[in-house]
Amino acid sequence: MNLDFTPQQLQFREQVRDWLQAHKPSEPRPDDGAEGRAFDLAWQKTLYTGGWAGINWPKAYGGQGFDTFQQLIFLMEYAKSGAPGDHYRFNGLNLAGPTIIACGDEEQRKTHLPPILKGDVIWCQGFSEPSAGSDLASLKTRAIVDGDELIVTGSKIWTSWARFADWQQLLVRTDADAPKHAGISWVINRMDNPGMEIRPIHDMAGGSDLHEVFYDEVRIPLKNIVGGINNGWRVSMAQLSFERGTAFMPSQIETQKTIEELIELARNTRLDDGRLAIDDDHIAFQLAKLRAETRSLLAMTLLGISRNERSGMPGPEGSMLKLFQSELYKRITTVALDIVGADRARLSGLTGRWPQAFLGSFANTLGGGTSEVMRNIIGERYLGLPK
Amino acid sequence: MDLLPTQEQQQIIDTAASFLANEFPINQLLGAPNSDTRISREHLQKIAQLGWLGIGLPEELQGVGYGLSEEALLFVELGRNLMPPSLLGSVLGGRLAGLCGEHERMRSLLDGDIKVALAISHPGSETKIGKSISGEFLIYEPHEADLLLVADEGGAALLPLKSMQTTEDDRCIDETLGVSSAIAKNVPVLCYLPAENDHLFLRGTILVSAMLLGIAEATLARSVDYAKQREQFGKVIGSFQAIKHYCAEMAVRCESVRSMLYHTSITFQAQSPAGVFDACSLKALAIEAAQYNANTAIQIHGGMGFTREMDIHLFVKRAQVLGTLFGGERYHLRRLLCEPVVD
Repeated sequence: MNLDFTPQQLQFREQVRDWLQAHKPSEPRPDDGAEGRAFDLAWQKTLYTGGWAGINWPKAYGGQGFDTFQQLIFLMEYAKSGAPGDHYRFNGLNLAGPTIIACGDEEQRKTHLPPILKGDVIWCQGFSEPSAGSDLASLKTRAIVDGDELIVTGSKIWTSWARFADWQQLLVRTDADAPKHAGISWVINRMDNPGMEIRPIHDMAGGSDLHEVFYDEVRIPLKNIVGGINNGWRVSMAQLSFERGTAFMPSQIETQKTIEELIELARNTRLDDGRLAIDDDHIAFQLAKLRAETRSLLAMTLLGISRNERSGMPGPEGSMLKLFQSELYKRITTVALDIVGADRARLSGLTGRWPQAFLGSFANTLGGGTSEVMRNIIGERYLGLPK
Repeated sequence: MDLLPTQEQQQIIDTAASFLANEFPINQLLGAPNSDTRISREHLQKIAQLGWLGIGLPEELQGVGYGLSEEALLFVELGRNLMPPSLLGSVLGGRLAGLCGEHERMRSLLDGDIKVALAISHPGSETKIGKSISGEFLIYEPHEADLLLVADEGGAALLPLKSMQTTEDDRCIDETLGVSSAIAKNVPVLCYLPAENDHLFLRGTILVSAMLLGIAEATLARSVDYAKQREQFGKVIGSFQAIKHYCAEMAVRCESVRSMLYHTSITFQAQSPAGVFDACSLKALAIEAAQYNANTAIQIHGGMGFTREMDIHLFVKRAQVLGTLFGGERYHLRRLLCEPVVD
């Protein structure tokens, strides 16, 4: 058991720190979709030029080939520096890219990986369907083989930033007669493919980054299937373990910042009885508990990384982290409402971010697998309880 | 950076687990009310021979020379096996005597010749701990105890139990332990160690948290085993989400506390500024995890969980007792909120 970094790793940390300090954008990311896309791509280009894109990706495809600890150090320093979040870059960098690295063929890797790192393209995901949410494997979007193409018909839902994306990782049913997990394929699809219609979904927090996507006889080359036809379930399971592993590291440091800002807010906000919020026992104990839980989030991440490093493979423990973190964030925003009191009604002004965060927090325990699905995974794959 | 136990540390865990399962099976505790004497002097000496009581003491103090991490790993196993908190009294007492330069006393503590009971301030009473102590205390396991260990944020002290005015043994919520009250008015202590020299109170906090983790893990393991066997409606109950999700919640708490225990044992040992922050966080989380898991385990075991035929209730009770040692949840949460931000 140790928390030590080697002198080389410490030197690496200095390098990361200095570079980020000198290059991170000074202006905030625009809210508008098209401007946001341009901002994200420009920042990715800067990272690429500076030699910091694809930190754990193989060098052959434009990555840096850093080891797990360099990756950990980079992500920690990145989050602390206040550099922009992944936003629209998230899917390509954390899901589609790593999946193509793990399961794609050489041509797919050469075609698709460098543009992600160079900041040329945005990726999105087409997994869930109106009737296939938590029960993802029951998806119905049909793909019929026609010569060297697939003809895809059906619909997808919850696709983040679809109308600003160039490419999509798509799950389709290529064998309707096989058992439900055995008839799925993972394919690469262009978002400007004829026969597609994209409709934004307006969410309860005021955003419209989610979409429904419809497919009417959309043609996709067979060579865009990743990991082999009818093997898509295995490919997507490998992917979900990336999603529940280190990909959430930056948002954990974000959580730490958030709880500290909230404690600061409580030290400066008066309740309706005139006392400072921090002097209210109920609020104080809740804040302290959240602070302790946030601290353990860091320790859990480090333990998880240590485990992956020894076993070489992210295990079902990643689901514990995802469950713990998303539920924790939800509790943080609820306590924030207690602190701002009646000001919770105002979404603008100095305290407006807190009710806004509360509204947005509901997505955390739904997206990327609901908390209930996480508890099933923990129960079945980690504890060995029967289905 | 590697937060997992090394091979050598894993060996400590495995050796402790198998020794405890053989020598102190938990079923011995069933149906033996007030077995405050579960650890006889011979038992204590046998444990001492394994080097456990001085495991975290440096070799120049005749200890084994390991650090807080190894000590904490051992205490997880002691907690899992419902070993009495007086073992923590012996470990901390030996350290206290050693650091105070009382080598003879330290030797007899490390050899298991002396039993040390733990005392906490009686709720609501003003206590003073220094070269002499005053106030009203609760003493766990007073039976056959020679010395008493008291500690607060200022420092820690050892004193003869006889020098206190104690009441008759009271019935303890945990029937395997005894409890009594004692009043002290300027009772001189045998040795006193200010916290600046060695923060024994927070070290105790971390080791009690380790014992609480043992309880959280033991009750999770029993619940999962039971849920895999017990059938209702023609299925094992572990296949029902109502039960499965309880178990998942218990597992997350174990993961969170184990991670924090490892982390804290390192930051505290290194005297990093994060040490206090981590110790307070750890204790609050460990209390919650042990109590949630033990209480939920009763529910999962159904009516049988409520009986004395099963051992689950012993964990519920022990979790309550350990929660009171070296600062309760409210104490540590309040303290945590006063700490500056750490990296």
